[in-house]
Amino acid sequence: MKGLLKKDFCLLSRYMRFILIYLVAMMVLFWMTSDDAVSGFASAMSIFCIILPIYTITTMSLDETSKWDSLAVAFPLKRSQIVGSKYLLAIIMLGIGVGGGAVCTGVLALFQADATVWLNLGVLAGLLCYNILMLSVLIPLVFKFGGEKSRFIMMGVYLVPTMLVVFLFNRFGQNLDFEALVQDTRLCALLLVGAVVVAAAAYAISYGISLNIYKRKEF
Amino acid sequence: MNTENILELRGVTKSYKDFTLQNVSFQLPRGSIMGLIGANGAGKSTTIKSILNLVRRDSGEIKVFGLDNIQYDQQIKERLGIVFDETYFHSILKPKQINTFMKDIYKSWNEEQFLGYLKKLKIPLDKQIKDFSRGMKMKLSIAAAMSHGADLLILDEPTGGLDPVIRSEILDLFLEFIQDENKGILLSSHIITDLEKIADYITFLDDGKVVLSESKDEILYLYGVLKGSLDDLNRVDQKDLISVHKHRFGFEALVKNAGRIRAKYPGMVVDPVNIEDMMIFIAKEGQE
Repeated sequence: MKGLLKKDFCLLSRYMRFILIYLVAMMVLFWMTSDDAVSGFASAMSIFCIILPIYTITTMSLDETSKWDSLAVAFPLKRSQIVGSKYLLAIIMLGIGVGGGAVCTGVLALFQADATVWLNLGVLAGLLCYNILMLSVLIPLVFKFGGEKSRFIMMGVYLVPTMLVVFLFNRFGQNLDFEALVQDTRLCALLLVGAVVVAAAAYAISYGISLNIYKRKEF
Repeated sequence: MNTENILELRGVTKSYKDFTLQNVSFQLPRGSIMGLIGANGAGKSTTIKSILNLVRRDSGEIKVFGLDNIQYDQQIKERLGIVFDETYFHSILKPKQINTFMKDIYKSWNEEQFLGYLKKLKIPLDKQIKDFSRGMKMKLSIAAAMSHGADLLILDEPTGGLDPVIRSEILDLFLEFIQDENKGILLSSHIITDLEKIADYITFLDDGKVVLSESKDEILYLYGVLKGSLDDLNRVDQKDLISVHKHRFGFEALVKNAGRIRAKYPGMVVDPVNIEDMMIFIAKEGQE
């Protein structure tokens, strides 16, 4: 699996410059439009947390274009390793986004006394779980339908839940006292733990589904 | 099964909607090169994919290095070098990047050997594969296949579309590889002249079936083309004919044991045959 991850990072290295430029642009944009620098930075990292793991799908598209899978299956690799490497790559990319965001949020907060650090860290943790859930749906679909259709699949996977959340918020969330909810640290911790458990379970089930799809494939 | 064989297929069958690989059996002895020939769609690639477990065979047995190819899949592939008809490395990668990750894919990856092959074959380390010519891409694939101590090379049309100079360079690499009598090469190719130069055995596939699988020298020595008139064809024992091609003025038929056939039908001509002619003969069987 190490070799497969190295291969994917070699592929993604050409996108690194673009990713960094994008990150800096987002940071500047959010810093200029947010109440405080820490919130602005955390908002920029939130976008990053969504974008970075999607590059896993980019590697799957690149694999399909070059018919890499025919070669990979001919190597001394188990199909479970080939599938597992994509799941691991997605977690690593997500970890870079969330972890980097958390570290930088914490560092920035040292220079800003009234920074809402814990709220921002909580949002990053929530994003971690949300992205894991989205990837749990997305990755098996890309294994099944291929990289060419991945753009449409991604739009569906990210757009539909987002629209659902917006609809539910508009319908039921207007009267919710979010400030009170945020103040209730016990409730927030419970929700976060619940989200992590659900996300982890979904990811494991997703891996099983992807492996089943990949094992049936012929090249 | 015979441990002298580096590769053995027995009764391998694989069905698709409009094609079936039927009961394919052949053996590749150690220290030999086998040419796998046949028209487009004959089943050469399907046979190779069955060996590599890229497709699931419906029935039959495949043993590589004496081991079942499904049960010992990873163990076998550690010792296999694979080259397909085009390079499946990503076009945006560079050879030095390929070296970086292949080290962690093959336990016995030999970086020094890989870099040595790249230098010998004049493949630049720091150039993207998309900027390579077809010949360079193929040489890169071959270099990668031969840089991890492989004992069996499986090559699916590796020299197609290459000029004679590069083909000669590549064939020399194969001959160098086979110097070790414990190794073997299975080479699928349309370029019969290449196989006539280096192959020890020829397996001929036609419409999913093995038509013959023999040593090249035996094929060239034993087989011939019997020629005569259409009246002669009526006198000939049909069991002596492998494949018949009729035309307006008579017939030509592929026969085995050319010497025996010459003695049996003294009034008719039996010409020697080369592998390409034999392939065309069998492929065009029954056509007039």
